[in-house]
Amino acid sequence: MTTLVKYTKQSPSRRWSWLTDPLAALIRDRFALGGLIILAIFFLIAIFAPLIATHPPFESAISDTGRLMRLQPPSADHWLGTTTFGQDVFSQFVLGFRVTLMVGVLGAIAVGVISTLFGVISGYFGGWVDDVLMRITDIALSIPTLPFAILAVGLLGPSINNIILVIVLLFWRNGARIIRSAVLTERERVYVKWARTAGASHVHIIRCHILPNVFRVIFLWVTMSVAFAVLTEASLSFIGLGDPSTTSWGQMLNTAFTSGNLRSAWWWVVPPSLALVMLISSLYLVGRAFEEHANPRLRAK
Amino acid sequence: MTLNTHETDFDRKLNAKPPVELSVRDLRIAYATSRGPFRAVDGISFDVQPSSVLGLVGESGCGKSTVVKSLMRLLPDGTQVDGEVLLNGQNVLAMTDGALRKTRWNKIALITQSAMNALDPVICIGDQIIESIQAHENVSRKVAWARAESLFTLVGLPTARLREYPHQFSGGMRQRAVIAMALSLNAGLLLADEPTTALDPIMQDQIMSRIRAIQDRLHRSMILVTHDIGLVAENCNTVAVMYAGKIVEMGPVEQVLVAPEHPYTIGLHNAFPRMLAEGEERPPLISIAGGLPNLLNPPSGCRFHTRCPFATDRCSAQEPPLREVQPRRSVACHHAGQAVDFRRRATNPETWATAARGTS
Amino acid sequence: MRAYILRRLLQSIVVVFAVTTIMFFIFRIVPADPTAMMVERGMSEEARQALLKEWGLTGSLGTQYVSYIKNLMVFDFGESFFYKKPVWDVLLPRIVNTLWIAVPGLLMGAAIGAGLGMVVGWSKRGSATERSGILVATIIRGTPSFIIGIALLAIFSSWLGWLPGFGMGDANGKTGIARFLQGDFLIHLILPVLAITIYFLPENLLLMRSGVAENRTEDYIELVRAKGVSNSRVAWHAGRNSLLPLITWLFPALAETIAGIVVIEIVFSWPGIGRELVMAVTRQDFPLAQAAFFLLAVMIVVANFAADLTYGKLDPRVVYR
Ligand SMILES: Nc1ncnc2c1ncn2[C@@H]1O[C@H](COP(=O)(O)OP(=O)(O)O)[C@@H](O)[C@H]1O
Ligand code: SF4
Ligand SMILES: [Mg+2]
Repeated sequence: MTTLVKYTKQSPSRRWSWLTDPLAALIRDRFALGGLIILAIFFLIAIFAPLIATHPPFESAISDTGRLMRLQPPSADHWLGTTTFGQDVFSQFVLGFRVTLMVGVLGAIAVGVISTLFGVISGYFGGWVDDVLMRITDIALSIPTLPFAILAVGLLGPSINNIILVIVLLFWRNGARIIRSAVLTERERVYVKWARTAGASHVHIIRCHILPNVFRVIFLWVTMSVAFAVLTEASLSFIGLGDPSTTSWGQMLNTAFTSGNLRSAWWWVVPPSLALVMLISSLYLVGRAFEEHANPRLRAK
Repeated sequence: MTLNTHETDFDRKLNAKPPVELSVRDLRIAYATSRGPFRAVDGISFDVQPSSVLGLVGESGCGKSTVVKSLMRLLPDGTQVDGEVLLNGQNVLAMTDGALRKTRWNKIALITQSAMNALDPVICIGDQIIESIQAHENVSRKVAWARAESLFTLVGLPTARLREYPHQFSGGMRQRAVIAMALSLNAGLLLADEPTTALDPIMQDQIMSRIRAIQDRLHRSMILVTHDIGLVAENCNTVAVMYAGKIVEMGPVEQVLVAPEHPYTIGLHNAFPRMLAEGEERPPLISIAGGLPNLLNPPSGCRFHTRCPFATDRCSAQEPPLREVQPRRSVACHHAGQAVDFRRRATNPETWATAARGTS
Repeated sequence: MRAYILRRLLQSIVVVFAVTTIMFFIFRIVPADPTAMMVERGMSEEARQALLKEWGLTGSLGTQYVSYIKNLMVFDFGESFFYKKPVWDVLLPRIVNTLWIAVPGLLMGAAIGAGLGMVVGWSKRGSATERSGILVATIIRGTPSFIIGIALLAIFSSWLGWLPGFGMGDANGKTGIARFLQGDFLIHLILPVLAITIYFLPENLLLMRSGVAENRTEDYIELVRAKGVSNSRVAWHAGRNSLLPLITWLFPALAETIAGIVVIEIVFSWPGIGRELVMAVTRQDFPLAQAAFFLLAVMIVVANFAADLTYGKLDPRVVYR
């Protein structure tokens, strides 16, 4: 992963270029733009999910004759049909946007903050802090991710909080490494050295010189972390270790799978699958544009 | 220097190949850039007679490498190349891909400046040499390897080192290996693009005398690209001086270097140290102030007028054509007739200083 | 070279040791009382004590740790709570089953991915091949492995009805290698292997692609083209050089890839180690879960080790010190 993030210098004189340059690159890249649009729509749906949902997600529909409406195909009342328990698929699906994006965003922000903290401290100050941190990541990187998540969630109990905790435990390590190597490059730049000899404080140097220049690396890592977090949550839920009080997409697929309806009830299976693919792919497309923009060897002349 | 190698039949067969005659006509090259076409080379013509050496000089960025690469069609996709590159009368620019593939290395070979990554880093040097042989000649690996050994001997490298990788070679050895590779099929035309720039002076001398010795023996036609006038004097028959994508002066080396007529050539001449005659006083080294113009938006008239100390109004209004001033001698300057006066004034640093002030 | 291997081996052992230690603490500290969940199922105090003893959960943390490490060193994971057999006896066949789908799947994914990546990387910048290659690869990369599995099941198993998608087929009473070398098993193998291939392919493709796209502008490529070799031979040089970063990525990436395989095993009900791990966790069968996790971690360490050695074989610039 580390080697993928190459690194170019930005002119220190253009104050906002650290933010505007990458954004401009994202908008120029058609794939990334498509990804951004999908992400925006997903966020809107997540925010307004309770208004959009037509039924309470766990309410079982009962027909006039008093029978459970199991596995109904899409109809005017149930736009995406019903589950094997007679629950409304559409409402579960729409509320799933919320759960998924919440896990993704909260997880990624926590990962981003911790990675940046460790990466900057380790890269900027070096010394024993750096040594210790690098040894820890060496070890942490040998831990198989999902098996660890399975064990941890299995032991701690399946809840959204625990899932987010596990995501943070899993993904800070790669991020810290990547950000650290970016900081290392930045630290050696002439203007950073000048600032140092001119007596600027560490905090000032980090805030004004280091952070803006490693911003794209942090942003790239946070973007990827959203994807990893969503993927981890979905996988855990699909396995059956999801938070039973929510309706995430992974969980919907798990219920469909364990109840043996994976092959027949397409209306139950296709929407969450498609949404997961669109969400994660969009994040990767945005991340890819960022990576490419940061890599001078790949940028067109 | 003697070049005693043990010649195989295959060596003898290749050594019998004739040199090539090159004729370039109105070559124009425009790189595709995000800000539009970049006309790196703008209408140049020159010839290389069989077994002669043409020196191509000019400051960095004037388009020398672009010319050289175009002769083998090595420019990046999307580059616009017009004109004719005639190799023994055959136009390289119009060749089919198959014909081009056969022409490369067989008729024209390239000696690049051997920076660290001129050779494939993960393949041993011997294999890289025999790759070039086996791409064109239906010979066994053993024969090709024997050829590579005699080439290594020719350039003064121990044959055992054929099995080593580029990173195990010093800069000078890599350069020799690149030369050996260029000689692998004894192509009729050798293109040497700044073959010694990356090396220290002693190594430069060694490599150049090696190239000279090979040239004396094999009589290849050759283009030597350099920004070192000294190398041109020692190695070339003819010299073409380039400025901003155009040839500004061309002619026999004795004439151009002793009595340059174009102000840019005069300036270049001033900028380089040369051997002094006994008792002669060392003249000051004067460099031409300023840099190359931006070719996305080239200056009007003479492209050199922004830096030329002798520029007049006419120079910025009208472009001087490359005119033959004597047989085989051409100059692109409106005031070429005043060359004697220019050369005298050019020895005075003050002349160049005013030009610099005029442009800033 | 030998010194290097020894040192690297030592490092690997240290890493395994550290992972084990982390595991020890997770299992001792996280559930305050690991038997609590069994107690709810009406376990007697004696049985509870016996269980604790069996898990090495009696005595001080220090002595527990020592005996724990001792047991692991001889690969003694104790007895599965659920199967009532030594953990090792349960896991060994599971590992074999996993290797049956993982090895061909990963090899094919890497080979096909690298091959396609070379084509995409060598195609013109901005061409339809390049853009569609990147887009499709990124979308597949963004597809969770269980969705790849579900899609394959839906198409080949339910809709076309060509291939089975559940389990490994009937053993027909055969054991050993004969159990695997029968048509029924091989047919059951196809979909899971295909799922792993598709799952592993896009990252290989994308990495190879950017490697080739980077390398094609290098000076040495220009010289190779000048030599008049065929276009595919030029591409081969770029590919050969891009293999190095791919290999550096490939083996450590197994850590992530195992994650996908666990889920694929569940989709296809393939009785591998990943599925066993999940079942062990849901059944609170901690000795089994712990051992499965340990073995997966060891696999990753071994893979990293292999990566270093392979890299040295492929890159003459690597010096073992
Ligand atoms: N691939 C390219 N795309 C755009 N411009 C290029 C490219 N290669 C070279 N140039 C430009 O063309 C001009 C001539 O370059 P070059 O032929 O390498 O000069 P020289 O060899 O004389 O130093 C330079 O200004 C250079 O920046
Ligand atoms: S034409 Fe004018 S500007 Fe150009 S070189 Fe001659 S004197 Fe100088
Ligand atoms: Mg050049």
